[in-house]
Amino acid sequence: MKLSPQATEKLKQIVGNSHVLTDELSLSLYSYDCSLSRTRPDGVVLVQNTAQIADIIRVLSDYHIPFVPRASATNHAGSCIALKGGIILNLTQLNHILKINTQEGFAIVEPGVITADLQDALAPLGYFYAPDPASTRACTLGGNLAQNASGARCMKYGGTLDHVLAADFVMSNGTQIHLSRTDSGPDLIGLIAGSEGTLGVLTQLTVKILPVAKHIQTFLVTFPSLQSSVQTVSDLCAHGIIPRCVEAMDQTTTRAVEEFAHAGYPVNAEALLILELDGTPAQIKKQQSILTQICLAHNAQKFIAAKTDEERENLWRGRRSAYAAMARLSPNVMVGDGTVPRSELPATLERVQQIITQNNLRASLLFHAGDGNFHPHILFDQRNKLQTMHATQALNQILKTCVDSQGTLSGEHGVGVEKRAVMSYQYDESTLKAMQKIKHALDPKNIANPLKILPCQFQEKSRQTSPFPAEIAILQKQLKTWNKTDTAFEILGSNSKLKTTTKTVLSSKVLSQIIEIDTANYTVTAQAGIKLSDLATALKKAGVHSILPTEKGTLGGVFASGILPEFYSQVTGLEALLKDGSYVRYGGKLTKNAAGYPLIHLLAGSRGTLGLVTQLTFKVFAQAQKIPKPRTFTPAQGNELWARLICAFTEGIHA
Amino acid sequence: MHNRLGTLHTPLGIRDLYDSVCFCNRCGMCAPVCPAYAADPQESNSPRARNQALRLLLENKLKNNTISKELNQLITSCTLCGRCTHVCPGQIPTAEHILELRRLLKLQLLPRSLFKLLRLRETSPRLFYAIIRIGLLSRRIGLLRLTACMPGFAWVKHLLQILPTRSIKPFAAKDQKRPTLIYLPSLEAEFLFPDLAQHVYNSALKKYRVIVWQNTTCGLFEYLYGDVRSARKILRRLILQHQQTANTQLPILTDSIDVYHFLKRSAQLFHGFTAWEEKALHFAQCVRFVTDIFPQKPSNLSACKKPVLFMNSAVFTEDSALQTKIEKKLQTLFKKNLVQCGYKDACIAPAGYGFIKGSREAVYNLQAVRTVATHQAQTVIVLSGLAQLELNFQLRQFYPTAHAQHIANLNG
Repeated sequence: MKLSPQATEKLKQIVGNSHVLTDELSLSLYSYDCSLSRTRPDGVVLVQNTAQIADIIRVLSDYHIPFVPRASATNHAGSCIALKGGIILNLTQLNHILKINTQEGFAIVEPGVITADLQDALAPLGYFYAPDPASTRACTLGGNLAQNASGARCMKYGGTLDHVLAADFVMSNGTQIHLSRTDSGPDLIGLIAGSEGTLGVLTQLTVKILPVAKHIQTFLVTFPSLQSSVQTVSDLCAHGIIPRCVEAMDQTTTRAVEEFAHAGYPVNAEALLILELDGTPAQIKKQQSILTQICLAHNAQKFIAAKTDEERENLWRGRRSAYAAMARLSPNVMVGDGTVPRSELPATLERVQQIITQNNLRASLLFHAGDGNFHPHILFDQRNKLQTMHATQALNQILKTCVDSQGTLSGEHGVGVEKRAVMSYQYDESTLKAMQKIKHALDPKNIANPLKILPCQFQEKSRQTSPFPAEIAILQKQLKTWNKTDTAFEILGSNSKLKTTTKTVLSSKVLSQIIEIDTANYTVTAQAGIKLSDLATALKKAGVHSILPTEKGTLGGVFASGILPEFYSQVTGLEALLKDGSYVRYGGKLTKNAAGYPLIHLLAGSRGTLGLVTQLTFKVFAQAQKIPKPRTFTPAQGNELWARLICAFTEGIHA
Repeated sequence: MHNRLGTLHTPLGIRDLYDSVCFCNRCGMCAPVCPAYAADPQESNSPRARNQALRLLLENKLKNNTISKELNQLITSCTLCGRCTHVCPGQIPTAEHILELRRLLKLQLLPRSLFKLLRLRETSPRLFYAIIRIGLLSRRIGLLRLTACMPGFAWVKHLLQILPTRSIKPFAAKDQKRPTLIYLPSLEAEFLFPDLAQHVYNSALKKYRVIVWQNTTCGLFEYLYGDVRSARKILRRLILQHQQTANTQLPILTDSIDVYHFLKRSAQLFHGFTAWEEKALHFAQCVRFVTDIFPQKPSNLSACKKPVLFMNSAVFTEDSALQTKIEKKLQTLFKKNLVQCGYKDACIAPAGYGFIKGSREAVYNLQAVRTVATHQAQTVIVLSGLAQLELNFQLRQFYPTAHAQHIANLNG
């Protein structure tokens, strides 16, 4: 499509003549990101300040012009490509740090601030921002939230979402919304995290900042097999030790890195771990002795502890230069980010190595051993069409392998355009439809970064819905009957919060089973109707701890009532029966999942307005956790975003 | 031989231009360290965009005639500083790509009159020397200002602004017998800022028997702003001259980091001509910078007011192990008084070759001043005479408490 002269004129009125680019060269230069995809937009708007964004989007909405928000465009999945043409909103000039408040521990930033710039501003104050994507010197904070990026410190500190306290957001019709983690009701920041600009544009972020750990100890440990290295990490968690980061690489990668960086890595070991502990000197000493014992138990070959800052820097230098070590060997490097439950890592990595060999490719394997996220770096030359085809094919096979191992196609890079096809391999039709509903509700004109995340015509290709328990089938049947007869009903747990007197209720009472307590991955999967007290007893028996309170109510209730927002980030998997009778499944025993809209955050705190949560998978710990104080149950605060979602999910239903 | 290089000696081996450009994986690590991007963060100012534009041109996917204005802007925004290469995982030599692009499009970046004058140094050294002498004389009596008003001579005005106010006497030196060192003074040290040349010469005399290659062009200007053929011709002559002087092992001393970097990569200009390539490699190994003749502890450290900031601005920074060495040395000398630059500060180029950067010159210069002001530095150590002249002019205007000094001045 071509931009109409009227629309162009209006955009120029907002940002100034010289900030709307339509020349051939500029369009070519905004046609790529770090992926293979390349499409020219019809225009580029260089946004000068955040106040302009709403006005720009109103014009684009009026003229039905698609837009793609773009900052540093370091994306590996093609999220920044204007697939349908339209406008690229260049946000790199919104690079101001507006406020740093160390007393209350937050910083207010514009979305175009480069992540490392914030770190540099915080460092002299003795503070830091926990997420640290590998591209931290190039990527922006807005981009980090839009992809829910994480990085090496994710295991201990979590991803970007866990560090965003508030966000200003402009919807695709130009409505400005302020979202905060202190809002009662659903976790809407969680919903837009990882939405890749398909729901609107972020204009301002308030992020959490933390005091720098004064004492950090870094170790390098080598193992005779990948299996033993991964098991070491699991055992560490079992002993309640959550390292600041755990990075791992296989032998091929270690050799490539050592050849390039000369960091002193032992090249004969099958697997290598770089672990980092932080805390007080006494804590580190205690943890170090446990670490040593566990490593010895798993036949660790070499155990090197960095004694000085220089030695520590040297250990990290190799890991940091892993991408560079590969990038110089071939014109193109394709980086995947499949994630599997930690226990599945060794078997998955073995299959990944087979896929790479079968496709005659060279690749290295790096992984964040703590969270099951691995990055194959596949080498190829884009000019060689056959090799490019093999690389793309291999990545697809790898992602499917991850899905087969109860994993996800993306842990932190997002879906963009290049992994859309695998989405239908990972999710069934009803889950994809629920995601499509979110997109339609918040972007009815389909102009916000269109054609991303969701696969085209997924109805025909999506994964077969796997059967679900009989009790859920009964609930589904009941729901459909009520929908047919237009009967009003309410969704309930144990009715400890809502205290409704309505008789027509869809209750989770029948769903009271604990499905699995997995001490390898430290997750528990339980049906939502289980009483918190029963759950606590079972966890105690298994010797694990959660952050759930032991008060009245059910597991589903504490999740959906919005009284314990701290629990949202602990939930890794969810199954739910939506009000239209469809059954959705999202996540699993995964630490992170950046594939598709996070349905966990859609239903967290939704108070039964969208559907009944039937099953949750959440993290547990080896040691007792501080249990946060539950909030008072209050009605959800309404805003346009939430109103639209409710409308979309209850359309044609007597809600 | 063509008027372009075609084949580049990249940090990761010999590659033809297209191959070298194709190694850009578009990861974007280069953008935040680029001075052009720091001044105006939009894609067309990033090294990634420069590589992509060149690739599209080489693949005939861009038509030059329809985009010349924007392409021109993209090419002229590059300061050739090479910091992008330093951070690039694939060490893509974007500065070399831009030079090739300039040659491909036959872009003339220097004002014609300035370029002609600089070419005279090679084609007619005596005339060049005479013009310089007349120029300096007419500066004293105020006539040069009139020249600055003539169309095409605006650069003269800036030259007058950056030059020291006192009168300038050209550098003079006597060659010694049985030399152990060749001093090749840079253009600025020889004619605009002879104090520097004199200082370097005197320092060298303490340790070596020195001969000076006066009024000798090294080919840097031709390489950056003219044609490769002329640069190659000059280099060939220099190499021969080096071979014929005493023995072929004599070190060649330069006072400009830009000249140093250029001479170090001279073999690249002779790719495909094995005999000359080998000679050029040997020649490059003989090139030294002023810090290489420093004693263990330079004698004039007290002249530096603290804190001290090191600005390693130069063309082709990426292959400079020397700069890292200098930084370490300065750290040992000044300890806590040496201001550590952030990754962004360090990349802001003070205007070493400011008067030839076109319209963006002022923006880059102000960035350099901002870096000095942010760190509240009192002394800024630079590695070329031009950087000292240009930065001092900017500091006089905007941050007069600070002063730029050539690193050679640390040594007495």
